Amino acid sequence: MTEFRNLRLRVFADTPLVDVWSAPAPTAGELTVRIEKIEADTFLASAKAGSHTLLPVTAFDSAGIAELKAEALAYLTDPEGSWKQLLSNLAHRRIQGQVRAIQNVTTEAADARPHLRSDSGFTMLRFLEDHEAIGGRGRKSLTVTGPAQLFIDPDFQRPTVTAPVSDGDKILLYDAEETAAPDGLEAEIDRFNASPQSSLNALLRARALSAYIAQMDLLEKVAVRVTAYADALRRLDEAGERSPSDL
Amino acid sequence: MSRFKHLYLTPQGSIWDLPDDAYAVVEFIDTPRRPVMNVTLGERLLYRNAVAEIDVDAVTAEVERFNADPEAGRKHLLADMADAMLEGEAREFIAAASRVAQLADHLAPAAGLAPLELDWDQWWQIDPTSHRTVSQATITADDTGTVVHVEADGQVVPLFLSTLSRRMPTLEGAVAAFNYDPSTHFRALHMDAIRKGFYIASYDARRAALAMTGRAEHMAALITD
Repeated sequence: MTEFRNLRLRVFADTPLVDVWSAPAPTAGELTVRIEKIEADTFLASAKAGSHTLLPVTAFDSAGIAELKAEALAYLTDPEGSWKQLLSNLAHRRIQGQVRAIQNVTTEAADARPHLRSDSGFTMLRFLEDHEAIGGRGRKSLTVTGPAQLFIDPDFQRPTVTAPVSDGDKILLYDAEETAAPDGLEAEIDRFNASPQSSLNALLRARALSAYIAQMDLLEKVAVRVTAYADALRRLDEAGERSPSDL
Repeated sequence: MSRFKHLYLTPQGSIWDLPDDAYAVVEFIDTPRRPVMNVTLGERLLYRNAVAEIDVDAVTAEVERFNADPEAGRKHLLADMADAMLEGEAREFIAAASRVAQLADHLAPAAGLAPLELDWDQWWQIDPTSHRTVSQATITADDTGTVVHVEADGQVVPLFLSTLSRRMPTLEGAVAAFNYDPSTHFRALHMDAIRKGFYIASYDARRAALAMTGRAEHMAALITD
């Protein structure tokens, strides 16, 4: 298969990317190549396939013109296959650009991350269970309807802290495998109860942020993988018949 | 200190640098169109809106709350900006990863050599420069299973692994096709593996980023106390 070194699909304002990918392959009759000799061994050439510019006006020597003519001939012989090849070349180039965008986004996210505040202000109390009222996207936060209370679980003999919420349920804020409440727990409960709704929101926010940060970790790992794939693609191109500068 | 409803930072300049010793300053400015309320922190704008359209007392109260504890106030403003930026970054990440997956469709024709494929855990370690010296693929089948491998620059690369010892006709056909032009087909398998990697990465990115944007909405609802 002919490698297109001179004919390339480009994304101009008048040929948006979406059109390039979904457009039918221009037929052989739609290929236009203009060559003008301006000096002894200097030519100006340009090429279009339908509305797509494949080569803006560019200077060539006679060897370059011969190469360009061979590529044009290849297109005339197999427009469908050639168009796929040109799309493939464009995809190779643009993937490297998109991966650089992913890397930039990841860097900016990493810079923002230290400024997130995941501390709720409480060291022992935490939002410990999934609750249907906060599980869904766009749902409202829970409304606390009474103070948080410490009690000793009669079955397991361990300290537990719960707070009542508007749907009649109780949410779990502390549950540890200890036989007695640790020092400072009651003081935290008092602090929670001084402003129950704000305190619960702080706990919910801390919980949401820790999940948020976990997703960021996943994105950073994806970015590393995508970078490795793009690098493999670049090496594959370099090892093949064409180099990135040819694409 | 609870979060601010009116004051906010936008990413500009050295976006994470705020003056250590600055207080928020309120100015009322008569612009040619209408009077506006301006709140600044050093060089950074924290608020700007037409006086006629806002609750001036509420904004002023927030400025006073900021100035009562500027250090905590700065942290809150930076945290709010970080939240907003991360949501934006997550969306950009989705968009870029999706575009990569779409572009991967066009990378090259699929090798069409199933069930042969480059080993998922090893393919990126394979040096593409070895493509020119790829050997014929060999099928080895015994009681422990079936293996197809090639040698690329002396490196043994598995193309198929199965615990089944029965030889499959499709495998025989794929190996025969591969051996027609090992170097070209090895490159095509490599491209298939890269394409598959981009697809999976895009899926993972979309899943993580959507979870992030959902969380961001939830967190925003919790800031209003």
